[in-house]
Amino acid sequence: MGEAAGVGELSGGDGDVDFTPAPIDVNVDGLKDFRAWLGRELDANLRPGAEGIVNDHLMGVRFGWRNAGRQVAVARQRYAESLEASTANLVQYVNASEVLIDAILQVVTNYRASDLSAADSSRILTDVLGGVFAGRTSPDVDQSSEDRREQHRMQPGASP
Amino acid sequence: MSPDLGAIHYLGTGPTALGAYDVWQVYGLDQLWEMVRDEDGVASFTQVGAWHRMAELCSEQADQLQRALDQLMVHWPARPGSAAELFKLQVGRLVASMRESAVIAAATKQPLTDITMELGRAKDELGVLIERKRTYEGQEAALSSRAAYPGRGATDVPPPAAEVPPEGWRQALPAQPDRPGRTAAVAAIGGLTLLALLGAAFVVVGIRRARRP
Repeated sequence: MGEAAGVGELSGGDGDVDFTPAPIDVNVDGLKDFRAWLGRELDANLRPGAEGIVNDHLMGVRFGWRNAGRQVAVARQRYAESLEASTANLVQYVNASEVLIDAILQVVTNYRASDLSAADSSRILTDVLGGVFAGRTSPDVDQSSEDRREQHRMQPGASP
Repeated sequence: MSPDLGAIHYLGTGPTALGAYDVWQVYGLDQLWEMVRDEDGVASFTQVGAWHRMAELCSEQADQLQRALDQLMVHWPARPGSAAELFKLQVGRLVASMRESAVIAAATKQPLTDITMELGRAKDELGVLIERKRTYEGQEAALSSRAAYPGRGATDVPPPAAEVPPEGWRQALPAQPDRPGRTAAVAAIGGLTLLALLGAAFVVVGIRRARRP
């Protein structure tokens, strides 16, 4: 792993034109490692763990359903909201990890395809990341990645 | 009247609303029992386990993610305006949200445990009372079915003391409407003070959603 390879940058003077590598602010190997780790962690721990918890949450509020006490009713309502919010959070974490995986893929793909100045590359990569984080899908997204997301996408299901 | 709605209807929130104790007076033992008879706590304790697992999962994932991000950032410095900065910001938000969820999940376990235990105790205590009531009612029914005027040759043998309900048992049995001694039963089912506190605890429990990275 190393600092990212650079694209060429013209420099020099007195009529000399030298091609000097300029580092671009991307650590491709590091990003690939990060992406691989994130994918493993998602499949091995986060997704299965979240699914089990969500399944239990989806049982809903199971206490005091016939109790006439107002306090119990209030507690039931608030607990229902907690279940709903936590379920949504867990689903979001899984989806967010998938977004990150896609984002890294796009960064790496765009980096490799780029033949621009360091400034241009950095701007493009920032745009790519911003687009992915904003929820846009890019035609560059690996289809297998899309398939994988679709296959595993978690849904909160019925509200508790 | 639907037993699961009655008290809520009666309670209200205005200055003229009845107090909780007054409200509970409209319920008899049978109605109170109906409110708790299905409280087995199985699902709720399963969810206690789920909250525990969520706390651990979110905490561990946040730690791992932060560690991986830190390692990445060593070689991909987050300079202002760079893609690395944006990446670090988004992952950092995810980590922060996971940590928050871990804290909230851990804080939710105890109130849920307490409520489930309290309702289980109410069920146990009311179960004893309802069983006693049924026994006495059965004894009364058996006594009333005995011949009032035994036929010729019959011997008017008094029933064994164990088969005769105590004098005035209805008045003595707690949780009869407008009977003395009902405070314990009402407290058993309501656990009102505790449940009010637990209800407040759920306010603290998060209703926050993670922001999308």
